[in-house]
Amino acid sequence: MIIEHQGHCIELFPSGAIRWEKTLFVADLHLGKESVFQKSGLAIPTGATQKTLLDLVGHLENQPIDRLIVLGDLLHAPIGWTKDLESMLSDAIQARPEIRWELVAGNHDRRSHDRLRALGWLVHSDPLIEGRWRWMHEPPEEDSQTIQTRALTTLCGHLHPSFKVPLDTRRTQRVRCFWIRPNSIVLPAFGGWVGTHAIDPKQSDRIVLCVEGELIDWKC
Amino acid sequence: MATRQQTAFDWQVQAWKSHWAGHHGLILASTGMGKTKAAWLGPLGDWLQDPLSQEHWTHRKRGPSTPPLLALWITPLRALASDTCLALEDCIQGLGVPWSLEQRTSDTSSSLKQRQRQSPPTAMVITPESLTLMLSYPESLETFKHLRTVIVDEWHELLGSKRGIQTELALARISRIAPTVRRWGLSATIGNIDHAKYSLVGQSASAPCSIIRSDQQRLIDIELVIPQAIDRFPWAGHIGLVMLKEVIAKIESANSTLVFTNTRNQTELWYQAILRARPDWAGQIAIHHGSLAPELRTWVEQAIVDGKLIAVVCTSSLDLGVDFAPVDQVIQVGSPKGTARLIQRAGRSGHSPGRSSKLVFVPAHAFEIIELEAARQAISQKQIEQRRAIDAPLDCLVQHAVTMALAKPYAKQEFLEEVRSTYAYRNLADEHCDWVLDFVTTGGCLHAYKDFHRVALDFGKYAVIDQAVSRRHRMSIGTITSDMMLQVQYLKGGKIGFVEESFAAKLKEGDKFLLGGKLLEMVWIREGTVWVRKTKGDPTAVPRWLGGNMPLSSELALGVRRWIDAIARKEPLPDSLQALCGLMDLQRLWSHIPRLDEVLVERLTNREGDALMLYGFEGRSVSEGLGALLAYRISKERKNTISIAVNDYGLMLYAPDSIGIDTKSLVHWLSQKELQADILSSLNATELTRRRFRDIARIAGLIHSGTPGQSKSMRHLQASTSMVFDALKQYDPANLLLWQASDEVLSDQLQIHRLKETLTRMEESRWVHVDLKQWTPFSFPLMVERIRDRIGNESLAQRIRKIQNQLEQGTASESRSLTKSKRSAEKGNMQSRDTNP
Repeated sequence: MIIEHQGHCIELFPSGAIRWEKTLFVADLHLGKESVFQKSGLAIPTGATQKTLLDLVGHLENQPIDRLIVLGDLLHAPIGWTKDLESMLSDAIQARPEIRWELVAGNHDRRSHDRLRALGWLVHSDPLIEGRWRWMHEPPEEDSQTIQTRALTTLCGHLHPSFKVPLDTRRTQRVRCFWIRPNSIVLPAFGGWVGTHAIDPKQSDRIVLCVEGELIDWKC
Repeated sequence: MATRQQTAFDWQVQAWKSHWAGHHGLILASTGMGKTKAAWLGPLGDWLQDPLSQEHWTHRKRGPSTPPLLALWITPLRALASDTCLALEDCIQGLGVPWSLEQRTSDTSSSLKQRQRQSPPTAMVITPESLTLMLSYPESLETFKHLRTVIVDEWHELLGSKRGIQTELALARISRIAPTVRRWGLSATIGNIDHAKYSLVGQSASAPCSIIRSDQQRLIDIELVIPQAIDRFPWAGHIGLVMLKEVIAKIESANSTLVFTNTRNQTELWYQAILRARPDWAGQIAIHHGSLAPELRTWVEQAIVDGKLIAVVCTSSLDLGVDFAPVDQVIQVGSPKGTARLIQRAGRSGHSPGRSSKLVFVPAHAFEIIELEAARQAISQKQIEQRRAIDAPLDCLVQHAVTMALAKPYAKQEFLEEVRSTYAYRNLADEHCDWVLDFVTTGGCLHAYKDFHRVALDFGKYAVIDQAVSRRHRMSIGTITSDMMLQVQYLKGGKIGFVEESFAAKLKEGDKFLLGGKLLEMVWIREGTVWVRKTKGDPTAVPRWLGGNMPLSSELALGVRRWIDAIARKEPLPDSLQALCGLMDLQRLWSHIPRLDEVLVERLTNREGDALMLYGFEGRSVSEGLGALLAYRISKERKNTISIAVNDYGLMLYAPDSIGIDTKSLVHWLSQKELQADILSSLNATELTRRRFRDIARIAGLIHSGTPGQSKSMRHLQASTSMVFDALKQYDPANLLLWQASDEVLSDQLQIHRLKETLTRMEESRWVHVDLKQWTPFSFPLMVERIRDRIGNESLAQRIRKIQNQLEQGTASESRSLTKSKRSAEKGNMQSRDTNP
């Protein structure tokens, strides 16, 4: 689905990714989350991490992409770093050396920057501002916006937004979504095994639901 | 107790004698008959005959040295522990034995818990959870060494629940530490005594087990309050506040009354209504249910014991508990849905040997009179419900495997023997045991759990090495799981109770709701608390608590069918049922009254739509299963949308145009072929299973249940049970816990065994088909209670698009049609009323 937002022409994908020109954006992959649980004695089977990475690689193959920007929380926690994860990540990078792999670090990536740099990732500790764009992990607080930042369009993650769709008078169903606000877009979590946070959008917002491989525009 | 009985009853003496002979035992008696003494003088008398020499005594830091742990008193209710302690201490003092007695529940301070582990008292009152926790410490092997007796109170409450399984496993462990320990159980009368006995003493009992019955029968005096004019149509949904006047008159006539309702909401409604009618009773009547703050509940309970209250409106929260000596009358509003429950509640009055229980029954709708008659008959014929056993639940075993590894490393064979000595796991398959042990060590599915180590296999022994794992496991021991509840609190302080998170999420600022008998206005929700202030006016929101609708028990359902048969045969009826004659005559005139060997099907087709009613008289859950099964099978072939409505007596299928089948072909649609598969797909089984999995995941330790004071470092370990379910389904679909969840849905929730029995009965019955001209007394409650549970085969995406279209077209037309159908429903009701002379 191609939409225009504040003069930018961007493409949204049901996976939760966004493409602008030749740059692909994803947020909140939480790789290695199952291992974190397993190492803490909770029996959660592995699999989601690999699937998430495969999905990501699939995107890069099918689109004319030369730059990938992960908007934070690429990893779940430092103890989730395993040999398997390391080799999966480096395989992915080596398969596509022409792509710039960048991470705007999120709260979950703390203490993992060096490991990722060693693999060839470009890790940014602070928000990135390029042209009329601002790319960051946590959504900006409304009060802290300045005139300069208001003129920018922000892409961010962190929230794992979902929307409670009313199925009938009694039941609702949570659905992952893009939360499109006047000067920012919150991406849904790209990770295969993450929770979601139900948002309460305003009238002026727009929501695009990601459901069963389709995108559905939902007017608030 | 004021009336202290001095001479022992024969059955009490019998209990003591068999205890001293080294037997296990099960004592069956209702509360207030002297059960406690019958059980407790066993171990005390044993001590008098055979005291333990001083060299084994425990030197306690505080107080004189006392004998080591000799007796355990397991109570399922934490709230009962203090009261039980008093009664037991009374006997200890009376006999002058040098025993120390302490209680241990989750309320016990951690310093005392620590001390109890190192220098235990002689006797301990303990909950099943605290017992398992104690057994998880290596010291337990020493502490329990001298144990002679374990007494389990309210055994019938634990039976058939996972807490009961947990208790069985704990007992098995205790018997391994102290092989000569005697197990005694106290239980109310239940239908399947054998099962109660075997679960208590285990599969290979070391000694004979005596069954002791109190010879006195508590008499139950049941009075029925019938409205002066029975409404021709039994109303459904709204509990009969119509009977308020009669209820108040009854309360006036007694000193102290418990008014039982079936749900927490009804409790709130009745309390309000009584208070409104009798404002002068403010302060003298109270309300009690499970969602009130513990302080409030304790206060009410104490006030009842002290005889300060004329009436308490309550739910099953007061089914069990301390002796309420002053209570001399119980009012039951609405059908108790089971004989055992009726007896239990009646037994809350006249609470001392020799007095009879007085119960006043207030039916919520006309048909409940039949349910009461059925219960009355069951009581006189001593047909009490059975408690269905749970068969070898793996989630409990997973928990147990870790708990035992904490106490002492074990070999597989040891574990298997100990577990198989319980009744619940007597037939545990080798491969299931292997799976459980693999699951706690390697995750069970090698490639999927590389980094998983909960229990380590060390030289053939299972042990827990990781300290963090043991700490977390001990925190989550137990099988009681509850949904997220939010505290409700006044702005000024003062806690009132709890509401479910889903209800709280829907509350808007200024919404008014009833809780604890007070009308409250929501101010804001912060820090997991709903902050409120008192207000006036009418409620705008009604809290919903899960677990309100109990299905009719199968024993009672059979009784109901028998009475309906008697009515159909025009046999002489008791007075109470005479009152129903007008209603039943109408049913006979417009349709038919089914005999025992008949099945009634009614059909009403008009311009409103097509409705088909099938009466199984087998309880709500069976009606639900039958309805879903039919709707699913029909819509699969006919591609239409069918709504279902159910109650305890039958079900209604409903379609706006036509259901599309011939009533005569119903038998074919109800075939038992592929029953299990169809029923699972029909009820959106994934959703049900997912919900069921919540408890299983918690018990099996698949999620870390966050504690209030948890440190930030644990946050990255939070995952909802729903996410865990998805992960297992996707990456470890052979996981046995998933199978357990779907089994539990089938057997507990859908009661598939009852469903099968009903289908078989229907196959053998004569079918009576009636085309209706108007709603009958049987069908009307179904029409009113119609739930719109659509069965369809659209994908989620299709559905969402559809909903969105509807929303965009504006809700106006929908609401218009809704009011229209409501109005015509009322009109239909009125018309049929008019036609009656």
